[in-house]
Amino acid sequence: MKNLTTRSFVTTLGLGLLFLVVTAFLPKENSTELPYNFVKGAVEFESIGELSFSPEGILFFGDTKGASIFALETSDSKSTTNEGINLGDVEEKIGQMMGAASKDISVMDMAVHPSSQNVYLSIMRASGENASYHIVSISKDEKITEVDMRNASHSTFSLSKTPARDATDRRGRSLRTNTITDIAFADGSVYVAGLSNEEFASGFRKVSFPFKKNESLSTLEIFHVAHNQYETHSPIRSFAPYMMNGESTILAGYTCTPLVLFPTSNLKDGDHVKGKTVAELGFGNTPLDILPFTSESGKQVVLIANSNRATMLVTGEDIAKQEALTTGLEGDSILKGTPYKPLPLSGVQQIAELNTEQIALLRRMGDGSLRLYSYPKSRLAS
Amino acid sequence: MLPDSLLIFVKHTSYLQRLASIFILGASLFFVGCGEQEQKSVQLKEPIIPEFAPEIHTSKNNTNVFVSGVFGLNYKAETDFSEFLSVFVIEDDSSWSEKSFPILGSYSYLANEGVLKFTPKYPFLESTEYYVRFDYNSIVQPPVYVEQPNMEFIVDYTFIISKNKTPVTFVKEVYPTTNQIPRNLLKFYVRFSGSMTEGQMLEHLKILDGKGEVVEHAFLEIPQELWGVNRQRLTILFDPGRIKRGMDLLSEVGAPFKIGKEYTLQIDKAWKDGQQRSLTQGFEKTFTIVEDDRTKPDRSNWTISVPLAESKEPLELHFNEPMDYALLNRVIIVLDDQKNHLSGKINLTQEESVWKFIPDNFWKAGSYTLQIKTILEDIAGNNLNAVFDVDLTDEQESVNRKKVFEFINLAFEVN
Repeated sequence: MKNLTTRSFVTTLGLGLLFLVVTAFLPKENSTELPYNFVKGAVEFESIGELSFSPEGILFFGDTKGASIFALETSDSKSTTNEGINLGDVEEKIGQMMGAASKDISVMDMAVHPSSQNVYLSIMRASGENASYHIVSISKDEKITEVDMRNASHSTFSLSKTPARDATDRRGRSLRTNTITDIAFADGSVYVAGLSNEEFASGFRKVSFPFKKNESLSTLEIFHVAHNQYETHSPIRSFAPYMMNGESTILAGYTCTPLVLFPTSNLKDGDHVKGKTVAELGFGNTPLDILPFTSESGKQVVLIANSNRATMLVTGEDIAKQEALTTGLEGDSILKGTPYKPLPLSGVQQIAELNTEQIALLRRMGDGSLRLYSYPKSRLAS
Repeated sequence: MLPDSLLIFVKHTSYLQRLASIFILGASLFFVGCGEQEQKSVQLKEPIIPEFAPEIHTSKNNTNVFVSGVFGLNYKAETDFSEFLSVFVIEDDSSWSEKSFPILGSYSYLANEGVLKFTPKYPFLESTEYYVRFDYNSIVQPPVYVEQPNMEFIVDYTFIISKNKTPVTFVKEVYPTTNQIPRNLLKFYVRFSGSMTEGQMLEHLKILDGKGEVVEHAFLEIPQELWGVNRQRLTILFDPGRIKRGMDLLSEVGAPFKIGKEYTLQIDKAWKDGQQRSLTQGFEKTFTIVEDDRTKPDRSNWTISVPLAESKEPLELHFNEPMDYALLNRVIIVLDDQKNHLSGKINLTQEESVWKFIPDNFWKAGSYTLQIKTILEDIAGNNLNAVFDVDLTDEQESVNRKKVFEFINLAFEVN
């Protein structure tokens, strides 16, 4: 009797173990792990604004309403040509597909896929209570395709730290929002510039990628000194990762107009970092987009699109030479510091590098239409 | 039981007569039956197709487009209906062209009802003109049109969705409410009674000088507008590049305002609310520009007015200058001696220079702390740590700059 019990116990145990071993090796549904801690499924965003690509073709977008950033896998195929792109009436054409007149299509940002060279645009369709947010890609053969958000490999990172015991309105929530004014991927991290609708303070933050749960958000204290005298903690409007003499830096355009350079190695959570002001871009103007690129002869150049001034071209050589600005503006001068070349390109809203030979521009034309086209680098800088 | 009349007939006739009558009745019934059968067989030979008369209309709530009266379409499972039925957006001052892209959407054909249905991928929008075109040349069964070779096989339809636009939303208040505004004012807040549409601020909000001329580029122009989460409160930032110091030599064109002059903030009623309705009325706020405020709020100027225990009297903090409306509502909390956060309502009075806290529960005697985040700003963007732009050559300002605290705690006793 005892033997039998032991035998049946052993048998049961053996079967059990066998079952465990077998099931462990059985292919499970969704068992294939996606790269970058991605999950496959519907992307649960509330809004889409600023865009940026990593060199591997991961698309990042900022969600101001949801106070998050998202990373999204794209499956574009590689393009090997250096051809340009040209699409007129961008808002009208996107609107035709989405069932909206061009007045109801707002392009929020532009980024170029590093391998396919497709141009990605973030779109707000309609406004107010009917507003919806989309990303479309435009290929060189003028094909407009909407990025499918219903089933995509993606991950997300929340930018909203639990508000530390804020007083709230009667419905128990704060009215504070932090508008994401720009995002960029550099050195394995996503940098996020924000502008609060309440306190006026720099909200420059760094999130390492792949996103990890529970990782705390680095809040970077970036100050800049103007005229060697006034230090402000003003928010960054637009910025770009920039290599200067082999050092990783961020070149940032501030809401109060200076162009400021700071090394990324100095950026540590909570540290008070001072950036070097290399140019004053003039009052009454906001830098809309900043694009550093390498010219055909291998020189570094920076293009700056502005809200109320012509597009500017600054050379890396001049930026490197520029001493920190120490004096105030003089006479009728509204600009100071690093010299720049104004380009005959007004109304440029977005700039991005299309390929080694071309820059992609999104430009409001004289007739009010929005045109996406490419501009050869050789015409900008030798 | 036979009916009475038939019983009478049966009673008063001979046997043969009765037999003949039954035969006639049976034969009649037979022929009636055969007749019906014959009619059916005629239908099989020449089927009556319901009239093919396509008619386009939208569903009641404008979510779908229907083409009704389309029986017997020549389709297969893989038929792409978008080749026959397309919906287009028509821009103002233009018309449909062959180059237009059709709206994306899905199609279904209800063969029994003769209805082809289009559902747009995104809902149709108000105040937008849509054009529907059904080109049925190659999708209809041949017999329907072979006999009418000159017929054009296209029907079209135009529609615009319009809703009752009676305005209901209005501007409740613009902060700061004071009409003595420092030249370096950093922001206005506009509070609306309902949620609004984004992207229209620069079109509907202006600042006019004493001559009624628009002050150009006064605001920070960024594509994103700074709305609160419910889109009922908009933050308007003045261009910080025009109000910071170091622009003195350019004062003529630097700062947007001149000291001692009067200006008017004007909001026109065409600004659309979240449901695309205009405002009930416009809004104006006239103010006079006073000297720059380049000093950070000084706590030695503040006074606290403490309520009595067992009352629900407000706790009052007097700042002696107008402070930022939004931050006053958010960054000050009351803690009891156990560091518990007291719940209550915040009231701002005397042009946002007095912060009042009315507790939900009666005050108990004891020690309390008012905890104020140092990000609290006055209306010129100077916060409790530093002025808007610290003058590093000013020893006092730069020394203070380095002592950055997150909170200021003010202790008080309730007796």
